[in-house]
Amino acid sequence: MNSFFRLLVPLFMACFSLYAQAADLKEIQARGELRHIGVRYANFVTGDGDGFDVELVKGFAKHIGVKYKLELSDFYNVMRDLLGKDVVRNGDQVSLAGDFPVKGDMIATGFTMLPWREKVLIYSAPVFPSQVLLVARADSSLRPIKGSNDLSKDIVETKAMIGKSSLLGMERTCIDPANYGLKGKGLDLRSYTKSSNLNEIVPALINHEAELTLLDVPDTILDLQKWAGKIKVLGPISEEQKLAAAFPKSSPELRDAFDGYLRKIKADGTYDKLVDKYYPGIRQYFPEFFAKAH
Amino acid sequence: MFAKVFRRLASRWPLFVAAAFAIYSLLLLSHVSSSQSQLRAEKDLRIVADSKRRAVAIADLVAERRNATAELAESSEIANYLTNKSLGMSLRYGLNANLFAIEDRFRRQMEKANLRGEQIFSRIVLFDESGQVLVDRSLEKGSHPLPVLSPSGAPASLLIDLPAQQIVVTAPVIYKGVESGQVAAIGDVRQISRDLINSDATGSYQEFLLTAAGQQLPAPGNPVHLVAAQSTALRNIPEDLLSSFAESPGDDLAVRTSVPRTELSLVTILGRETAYGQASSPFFLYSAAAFPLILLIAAVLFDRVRRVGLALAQSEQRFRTIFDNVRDVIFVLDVAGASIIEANPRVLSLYGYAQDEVVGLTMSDVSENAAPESAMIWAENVAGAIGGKPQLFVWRARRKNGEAFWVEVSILRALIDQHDRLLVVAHDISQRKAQELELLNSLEHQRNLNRQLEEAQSQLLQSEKMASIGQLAAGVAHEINNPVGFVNSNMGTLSTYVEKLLNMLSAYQKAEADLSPERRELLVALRAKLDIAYLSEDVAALLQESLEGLQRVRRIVTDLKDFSHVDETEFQNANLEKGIDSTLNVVWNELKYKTEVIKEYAGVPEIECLPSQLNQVFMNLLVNAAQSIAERGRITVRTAFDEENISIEVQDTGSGISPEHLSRIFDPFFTTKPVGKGTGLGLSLAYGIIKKHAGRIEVSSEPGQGTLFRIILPRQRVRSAS
Repeated sequence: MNSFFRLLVPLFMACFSLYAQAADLKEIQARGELRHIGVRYANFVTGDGDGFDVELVKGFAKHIGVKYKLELSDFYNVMRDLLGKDVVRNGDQVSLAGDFPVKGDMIATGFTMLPWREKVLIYSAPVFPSQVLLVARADSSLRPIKGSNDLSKDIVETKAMIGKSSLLGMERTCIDPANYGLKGKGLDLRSYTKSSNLNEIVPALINHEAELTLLDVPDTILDLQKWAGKIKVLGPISEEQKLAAAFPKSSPELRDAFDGYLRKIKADGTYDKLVDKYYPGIRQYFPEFFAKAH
Repeated sequence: MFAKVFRRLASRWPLFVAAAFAIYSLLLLSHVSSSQSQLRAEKDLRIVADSKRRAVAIADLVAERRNATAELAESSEIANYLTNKSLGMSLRYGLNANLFAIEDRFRRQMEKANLRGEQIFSRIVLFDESGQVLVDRSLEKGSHPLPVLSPSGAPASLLIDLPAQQIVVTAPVIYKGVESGQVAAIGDVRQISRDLINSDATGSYQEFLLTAAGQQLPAPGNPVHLVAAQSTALRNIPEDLLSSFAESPGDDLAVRTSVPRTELSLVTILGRETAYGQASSPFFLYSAAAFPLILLIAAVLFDRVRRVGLALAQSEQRFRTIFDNVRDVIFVLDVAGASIIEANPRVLSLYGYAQDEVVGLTMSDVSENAAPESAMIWAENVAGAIGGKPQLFVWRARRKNGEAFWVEVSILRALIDQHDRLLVVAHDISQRKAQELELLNSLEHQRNLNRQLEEAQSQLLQSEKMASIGQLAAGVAHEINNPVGFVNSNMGTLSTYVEKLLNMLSAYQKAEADLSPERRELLVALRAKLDIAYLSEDVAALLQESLEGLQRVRRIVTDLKDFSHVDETEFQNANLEKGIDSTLNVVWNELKYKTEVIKEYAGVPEIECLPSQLNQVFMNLLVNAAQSIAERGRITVRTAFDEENISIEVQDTGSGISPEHLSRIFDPFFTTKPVGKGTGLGLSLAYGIIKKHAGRIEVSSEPGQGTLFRIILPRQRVRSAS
């Protein structure tokens, strides 16, 4: 019996895996359903059935004539859920390992465009701007930088403030210190592992799990209201980033269809309404990006 | 006695009726006035109460704005911003997010706060403590200007910005007990007045707001627009008291009520009828009381008018009598059309028209209008009269039968029966004009006689002068003729003698060969010394020249005699070509230097004439021809004849005679020559001489080309002509 199960289970998994593999446009249209992989994060995917990326992909599904389905994931597993492979990062080297169920056809969840990620998947055109900021508790002795017109200079000045302070991050996400050259510099880096939910980072900071943390701009806009008087932004850690939808390299037609849809909603004003609905004020924060959008 | 008094009073019955009516009306009106005064007092109280209630409603509107603005100033978004700012966060990396949140809050407040669907805030602005704008949310950018803020101190203050038509409510932002900025919420000032009543159609009920400075707040619709004097008057009327608003067009009522917790006043203007309904106003009652008195006055005036009318009728009759019986014709004309409206009966006897016939005619129909300028003269006089200046002039009128006659016309403009008229009075002056014409004819005849006398006298003088010259020439010729006769005779004899002496001298010369050489040499030397050979040749030539000179002297003398004919005072047969030649010789000195004389004689026969006078004619024509030639020219003398007449033409190539002078050249004393060069009698005299011969003298000339005089004389003398 055990032998039988030893043979049956891998066979079943293989069949299931084949069935559930991420598919390109024609297969999705034939299937009649688009599976959107999202991570509960800021106002991109709220977890309540709405969010910027949720509405964006819903509109895309309707555009290509299929039903929409949201598959919730987390930042540790979001790429594995798309590719069916674990993504192993060793310095600049990225490799795929193992076989896992493919849960969705595309990622759209405030997903940052990072060079190492592009080695295993393909991005759509930029969907949203972002930047990662260094944040401290309000009672921290560190003073926010004054800010200048030179972003590189501001980044250097901000990074210099970290010193011996502990910095809370979340690996394999946009607030992974490794993305910004902070790893291996002798800093007191701490990884938040209690949850893969980025929305818990600020409460963890306030709870003295570290002295500093990283937040991207869309999240900061919300947290400065939510935690006013409890946290303060010290300065930028990264250059301006782009967020985009991600697809397996085997789905170029789906990516192209998404890019076409994105151009369409930028032209007809739907995109602007989504931005103003979920991130009012972001337009003034990144005027150049939204100017390009028009 | 009683009957007489009764008759006098009875004739004034309208006055008594009016007095009785007045007493009755005053009693009635007094009662009505008392009732209505009480009614008015009650209505006054109700109007003031209404005004107070509406002022409270407006105060509530303003308070709503104050509360909303204060709520914004105390909002968590602004507090968060100030908190994060106090943590030292930069605008770029952090505070921007708070400002975005504040703007979003302002947006939501603007969407939420509305008055019956219309947003009450069109712009909300957050200023920092230094007055810098941090957040500026507006419906339409630039729709409302930003207010100039002063340091607050009050919880929430109200600012009316009339030039921008906006109401601004400001509230201080307090952070940790310190004023850290202000929120200014701006809205349309007209919203405050939107619930006020403005009866556009009748204007009988108007509500509006006034500022403390007396400025009127704009309101929707078409409310009353006050001038400065009205605003000031309304601002100064007692508060909460219905007062008369004298500055309104209709003597309306007004009440002013302060809007609580603002510096505004609610002003209500309403017509008296609106306030008190159909109740009669005191003015109406007073006016009604005056009506019977007016009626009484009207009765007295009616009687006076009746008397004046009677007097006018008598006056009109008086003037009508004058109009109908005056000896001159009087036309009444319409100024506009100048047609006759009326004429007095005299028009029948002078113009031959009945009075009704002449109506509708124009003055042109009763005028001669012989010359085109007549119409212009008439029009000028009419225009002068219309201009207010009476005109008097003599005119040629015409009767109905077409007969013309003279009238003296006076025209003046007059107002007759309230109409603008022209009064034309025509006075017959035919008799006077006839006398004037006769006098003028007599005077003209006298002038002609005088002119003929002067001409005759002048010609006589010239003729006598020429006769004297002729006599002088004849006398000189006669005196010269005798000496020339014997000198000529002697010269003939002397020629014979000299010829003989020369023959003798020749014989002596031939005989010299027989003399001794000494004698011969002596003679030869003497002959050479005396130049006998030359003398012999020259003496003959001298004698010949002397004889020729004498012949010329004799011819001149003869010509002088022929020219003057001093002994020919009666008509006699004469050859005119010969006379022309004689005359040419006499005047040759005048001609020879600048003229070439061409004679084209036809060999005219002798005619019976006065040769010396005709020679004078020829001389005048020749001298004139020579004088018309400036430098060098030609004079052609041409004769011709037929069975009845002979003609003599004198044609020159001189300067000619201009057309305007051509008709006057035979007038006595007319000359174009310089003063002292001509008397102007030459051609006049020639004309007279030719007329005496029953002939005629013609002239044709072209300026610059020359002149041709042609004399035509009958071959047979016409006796009557002499």
